[in-house]
Amino acid sequence: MNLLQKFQSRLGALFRKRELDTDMDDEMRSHIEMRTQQNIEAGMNPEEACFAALRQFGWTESIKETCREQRGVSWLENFAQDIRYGARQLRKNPGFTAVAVLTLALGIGANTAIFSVVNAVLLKALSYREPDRIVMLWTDNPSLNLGLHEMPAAPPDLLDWRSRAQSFEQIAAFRTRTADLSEQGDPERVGGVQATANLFLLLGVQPMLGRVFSADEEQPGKDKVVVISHGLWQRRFASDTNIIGQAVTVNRERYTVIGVMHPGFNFPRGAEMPAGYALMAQTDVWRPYAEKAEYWRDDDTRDFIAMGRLKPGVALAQAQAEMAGIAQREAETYPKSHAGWTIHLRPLALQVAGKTRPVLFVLLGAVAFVLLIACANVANLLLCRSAARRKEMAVRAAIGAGRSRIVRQLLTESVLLSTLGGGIGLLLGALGVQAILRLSPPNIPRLSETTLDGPVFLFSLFVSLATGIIFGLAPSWSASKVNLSEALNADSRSGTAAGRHRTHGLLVIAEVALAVILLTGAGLMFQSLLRLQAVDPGFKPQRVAAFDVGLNGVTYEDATRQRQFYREACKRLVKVPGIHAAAAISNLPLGGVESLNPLFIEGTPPASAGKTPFAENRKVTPGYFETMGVSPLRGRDFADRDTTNQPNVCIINETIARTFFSGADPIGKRLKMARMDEEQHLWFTIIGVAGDVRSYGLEVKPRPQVYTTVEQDTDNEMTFIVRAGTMPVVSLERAIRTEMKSLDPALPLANFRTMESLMVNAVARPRFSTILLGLFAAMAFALTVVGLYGVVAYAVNQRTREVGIRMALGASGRNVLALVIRQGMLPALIGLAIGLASALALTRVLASQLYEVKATDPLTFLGVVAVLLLVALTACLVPARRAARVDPMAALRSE
Amino acid sequence: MQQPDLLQGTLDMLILKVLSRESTHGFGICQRIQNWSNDVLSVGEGSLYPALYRLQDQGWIESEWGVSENNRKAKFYRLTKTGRKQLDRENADWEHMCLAIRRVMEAM
Repeated sequence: MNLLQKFQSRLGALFRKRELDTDMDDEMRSHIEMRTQQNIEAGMNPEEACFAALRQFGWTESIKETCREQRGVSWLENFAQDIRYGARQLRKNPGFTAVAVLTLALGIGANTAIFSVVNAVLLKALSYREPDRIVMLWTDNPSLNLGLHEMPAAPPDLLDWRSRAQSFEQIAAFRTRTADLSEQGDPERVGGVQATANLFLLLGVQPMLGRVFSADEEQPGKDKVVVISHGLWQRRFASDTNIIGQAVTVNRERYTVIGVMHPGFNFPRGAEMPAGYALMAQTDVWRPYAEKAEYWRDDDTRDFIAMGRLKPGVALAQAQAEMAGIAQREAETYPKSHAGWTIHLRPLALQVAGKTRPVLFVLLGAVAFVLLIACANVANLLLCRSAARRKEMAVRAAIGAGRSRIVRQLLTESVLLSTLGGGIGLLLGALGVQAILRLSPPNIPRLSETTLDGPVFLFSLFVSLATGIIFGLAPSWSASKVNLSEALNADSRSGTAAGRHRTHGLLVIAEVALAVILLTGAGLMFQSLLRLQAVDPGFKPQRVAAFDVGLNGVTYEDATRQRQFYREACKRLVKVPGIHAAAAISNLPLGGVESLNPLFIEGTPPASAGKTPFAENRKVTPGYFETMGVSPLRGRDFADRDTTNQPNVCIINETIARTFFSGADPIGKRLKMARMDEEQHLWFTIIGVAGDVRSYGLEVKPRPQVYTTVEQDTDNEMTFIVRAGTMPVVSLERAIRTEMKSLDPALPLANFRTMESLMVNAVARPRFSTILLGLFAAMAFALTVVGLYGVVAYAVNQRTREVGIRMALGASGRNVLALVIRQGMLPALIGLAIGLASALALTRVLASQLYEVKATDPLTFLGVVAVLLLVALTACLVPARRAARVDPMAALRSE
Repeated sequence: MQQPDLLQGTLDMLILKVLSRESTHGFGICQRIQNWSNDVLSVGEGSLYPALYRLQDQGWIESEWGVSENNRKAKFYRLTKTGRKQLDRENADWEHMCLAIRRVMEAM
């Protein structure tokens, strides 16, 4: 018989079951008749002959079952039967079914949701050519203590690296240059970068229309070409296919559109790169990185982000070693600019995942724990139920079901259960993904790509089936070991019952331990979040709004025009009804833009090479401190009289005053924001000291900060801030826009946001992970309590008779109470101890996520112990009281 | 199994052998094995029928309802072409095995 015939015969057998069974009956009857005939011929009387024949034939039902198995279809038939029977069993116990299915659905749903996110953010390959060969080339100078490790490179580095490094096919550079678009509709600012021509080649992307830059467009003068994103092309240029060759105005200069990228290409996205580079959420405009030869040769301002594509076969470590050598050489050759600086490589995929990576791994671990607890709980439930069904199993075995058949039956039931749970879990997972997307902070990269797709579905399917098999096997194995006579004999609960109690105990221990770990983790995160939220940012964010402007083009080429604009704008904004104060600043606190300059204070010895301190430099308009609510400590604010023909002045923050003046009065002293030997940089006289501001993040300690006034030291990119009097500041947006438009109709106001929203965003990531971890811990805790209660209640139920005897022999209610509680609390206490020990080891992975809370915070640990003990005790107390109220006579009579 | 010393594979071979001589029903197979072995081998029904169903599933034998010697309705089994090949194969294996065992036993 070939395979097809075999299949047909089996399928046929399935549908012709009754016919085949009749056929089998007939055949066996005919056999028995022949044997009877033979026996009669041998001299037996007919009755005796028939009986002997039957006896010799043996047990027909069992033979028939074996024959059916040989017919090769029984497993399918049995499977269908098992499913029907299993479904009936589940319907018969709606309470059990609901609890088990819901428990599983929670576990699987949470896993599905988190895995969906992990899949989108961490696992899915980036949509560039061979993305694992693309690396970021960051520089770092640990001795500066800047708290930043992903620093940009200086122009001469690019030439140096390109000529020396053998590990790379390409090395490209880009820097943030946002693009103000003022034609084709309202003025608008979009994300933009200036990039070397090979960036696209390095990433391996092609334009959808037109072309990308060529190397000669990196020459100043030839660089007025622009590549735009698909989204911008659709939105602002109405998907015009004739766009190539058209002129557009970017930052008030004329550019020619040479290319449109494919949909989805928006590299670099703000969330995928370190903060501080002022990258907007996505990039829509790419322009050539055009600089003169002197810039590339001599300028040592660290100005751009570098990235490389490794040659095929070059390992990361190998390239890293090569770049370390190059950094060493540079430090020796140019000690002034490069001493102490190192180069470190980071694969693009890791860069993109960034800080979310550890958070997601913690969450993934947490949901895995929840699932384990759910499994343990359902295993417990099944174990209890299989105990209740021991008689049923014994009867099944007695009438001819083999052990494998019973195991299969129970396994089918649990797989059925887990499939139901998995189905509902998938649904919960889909809802969970929606909830996560709504809850998530704006700065998680690629989160919006989260979908419930193939891999996620397979994952859930795998999880639910594995769950079904794992927790289905344990109870079914023990059930199949049923000793027939013992089980059928109603009162034999001794032998295997002890083993079962042990299994229950182990499951409770595991559940409690896992729940303790999760609770501790969530507790630590919660404490850290509370502390982070209580951090004083150094300014008063209430009722303050901010928006960005960029003064570009011929109109604002002259610095006096820029100053005039800032003065005029502030004057007009204050006149808007409802606005109390207005000012502007170059780098808004928590705004994600940082400008660090070497700091040199007059009269202090020059720092050794590579040890130069750096300070944040912020250019502000007079009145900034008052508008933002930064506390003035000493001296005076900038005033209108501090103009270019007056001595340059600056205001320093408390950190500088404390670190560099150690108690002495800094007012009147002078500082420079450059290396001391560069004479062209000017001295600034300190006129005041202001409070520290947490500008880079709430968790980052304030760094040295130097404020200068735009009247002496201007910037064409500024952020205006307005403080409203009493009304909510967002309600003033329209009036503000109108006022600014009347000042310059072509100027886009970008990123209108409130300072409070920036504060919220600053804790968004920790809040997101804390909420999720808290939710999972709560789920784990609830499941564990249900599990503990279930086990104790079950034990009480099973031991009613024993309790009855004890009470009949004189045990008091209190004795019984103590007995039950002791038995329930023992595994809980062991679990607690194991959980605490594991938590001590495991919460260390949280250390990087915690703010001013140690991973071993005793308060959190104590709290977890207290809560767990209290709840566990309650969970034991309820069934224990029921046991203590047992009427001995009723209990003894009950069986 | 009532005859644990009757090796599983051997029973299959014996059934095929019986059927190679003539088609017969289950009872007939029992009888012939018992007779031909001078009552040394007796096949229990509990082993015979599963074996018959197994061999049929393998496609080595076919069955058909017919009428027995003493006019009883009975299911007759017949060797198929592949069954005959299987018998030859099993026979060869068996010879091989017997020879091997004999060599060992006579080596002393």
